[in-house]
Amino acid sequence: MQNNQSGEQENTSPSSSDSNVRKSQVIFSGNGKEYFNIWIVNLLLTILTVGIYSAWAKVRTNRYFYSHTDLDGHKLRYLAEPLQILKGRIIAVILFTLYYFAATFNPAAGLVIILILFAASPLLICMSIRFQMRMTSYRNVKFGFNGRYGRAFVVFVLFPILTVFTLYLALPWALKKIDEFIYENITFGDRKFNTNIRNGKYYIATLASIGAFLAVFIIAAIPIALTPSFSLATLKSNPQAMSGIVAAIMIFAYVFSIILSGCVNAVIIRNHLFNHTGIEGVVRFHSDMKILDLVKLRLVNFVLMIITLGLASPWIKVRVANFYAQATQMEVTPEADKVIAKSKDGTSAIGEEVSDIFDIDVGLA
Amino acid sequence: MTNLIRGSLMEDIVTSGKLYFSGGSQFSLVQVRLASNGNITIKDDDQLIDEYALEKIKAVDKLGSLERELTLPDGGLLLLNNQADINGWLDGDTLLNRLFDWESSQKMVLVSVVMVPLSLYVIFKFLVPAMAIQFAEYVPDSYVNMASKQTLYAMDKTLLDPTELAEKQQQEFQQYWQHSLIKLELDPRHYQINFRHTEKMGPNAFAFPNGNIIITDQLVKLLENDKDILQAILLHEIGHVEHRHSMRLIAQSLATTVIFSYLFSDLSVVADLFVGAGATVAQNQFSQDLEWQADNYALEKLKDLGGNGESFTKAMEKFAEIMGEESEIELWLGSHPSFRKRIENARQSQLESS
Repeated sequence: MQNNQSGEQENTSPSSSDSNVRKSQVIFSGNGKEYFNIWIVNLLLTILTVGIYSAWAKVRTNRYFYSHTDLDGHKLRYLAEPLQILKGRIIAVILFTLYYFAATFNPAAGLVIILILFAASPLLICMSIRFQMRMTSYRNVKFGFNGRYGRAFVVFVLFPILTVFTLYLALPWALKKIDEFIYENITFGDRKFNTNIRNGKYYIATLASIGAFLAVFIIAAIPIALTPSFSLATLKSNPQAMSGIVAAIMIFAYVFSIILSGCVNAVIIRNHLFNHTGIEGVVRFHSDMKILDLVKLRLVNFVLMIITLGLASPWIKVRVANFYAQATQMEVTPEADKVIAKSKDGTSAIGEEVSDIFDIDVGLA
Repeated sequence: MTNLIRGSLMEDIVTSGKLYFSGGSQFSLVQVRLASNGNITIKDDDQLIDEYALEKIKAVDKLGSLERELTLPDGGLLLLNNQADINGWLDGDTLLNRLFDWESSQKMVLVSVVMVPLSLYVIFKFLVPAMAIQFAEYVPDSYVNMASKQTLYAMDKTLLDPTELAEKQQQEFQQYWQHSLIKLELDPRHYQINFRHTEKMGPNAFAFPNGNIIITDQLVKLLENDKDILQAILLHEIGHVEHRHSMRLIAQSLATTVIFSYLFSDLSVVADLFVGAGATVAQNQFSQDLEWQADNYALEKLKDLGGNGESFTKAMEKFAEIMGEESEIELWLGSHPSFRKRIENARQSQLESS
């Protein structure tokens, strides 16, 4: 680790005295119009082939977004083959159909399956992250994931259950443990990612997002209370009109509070994670996302989705990718040229596809 | 400029590329010659690095304006410009490549913009319901029975209590109902009625797919013991049973879930929200269709019994009364058609029969 003698990861750039460290901005070069064309044609092909083409569509979408992401002059690559995805999808659909029928014809059997699924979810999550990592390469070196089932069970199932006994006070801590498990186990060739995220930030993020959520409702209550028409008299004479105004304000407050609190949490955690995660001596990340910018992005996206009845979604996906790239910078040392690829056994898409259809989700930043 | 055969060329193409070596993160800018004999040569500062036959390398599918990626036999990766002559040399003319060309064809994009909503409409309006009807035919009665019994068991544990109606009152209903069933040539053993008291579900009647009918005490009270109206409601419920609606709903909701998850799964988080809402709207539309079918079944059977559907109209009016005014949004998105329209439909049927 020639460029990082101190081993100190935090808040100091990797040996800022070293002029060989390159700073660069992450760039997303995808284009909304081009991706819209790809998306809509692939959607039609998927429909015409009764879903079979969806595997090709998925690969092409992922390739489009990976290969348009420029990190320090090199592009990411998505390596999965459509047939791999198709195989995973066929198995996932069969399992989901069996579960669905079992659950509807025999609710008791459905309950048993849900319990099995619950116990298996850490395994599915591990398989899914492993697949996603191994299907990602950068400078012709693949990423990998070494997370083990036992530990995954502890962080994804055991800890969250135990937080119930702390009245959820330990939930931010459990969320931090999940992120730690994921990012500490990601590898890039022969190198390992490391992270030194802190509990404090997770508590701040949780409190801030709860605070934002409540603040919206308190602010929304003011116009309702102050509206002159809001009196018992109008409530009696014209309950229809009254409840209409209140309902409109409440719906708006509801949507806005969800978006706002989601943004507060996402930005605080994302910045903290990126600023404290990297590969020692090779790369360090910086993220300076602003909460208000993300709120603006999501609000505009929300409105765009409604007025275009969903047709804007490919454009939105590009806008989001662009926004996240712009908030991210990296510092790379010459050591980056010396990463050695490790050959690994094949991997299958089954875990990822099964997780997808059963909605077992883990967000990778 | 599309070549019919990979590697064929009038004259050699000389271009620059980026070569990532096998086994590590190192790379080099290189000169590349794509030759008319189907070979590719890679040089670095006029030093020959490698020469391969085209069949030995794997060109990753063309996509938009992205650089072309070539996987070399030794595990290296070569990036080349995305330009027509290079693409022609790499790909030749295959079916898959022609599909990929659609993505950049204005005509195909326009066709897709029109065809996607149209085909989604056809799928959800006709194909999925037709498939569900087929499916419903094939579900064995033993499964239907099992599902019905388990659901009733679960409801008895949670939502329903034993009836508080007098034995005599129950008997009267039973006799009246049995009589009507025989008149309609329906099997009285199949459509048994059972009474339950409930605080949680209010005035309600529902039929399980195996024909077992539950009437809540609260409904009997709401209808003020009127057997005609109750019969109209029960005929609506057995309309669901006769047309195997429960089985159709199961198949339709499974199909909707799977279709939505594979057509729209690649979208962003915001879009996910809308996908969920879209699936719910689609399913509620199915449900509305089924309600109409059950209404019309009831109206038809009431005619067979010598009535004119007036009792059905009254039943709907009773419900409309307790439900209050329905908003437009509710009607459009909800799982049941509006009472106003259902009453209109019933009146129409009354007119036709008189």
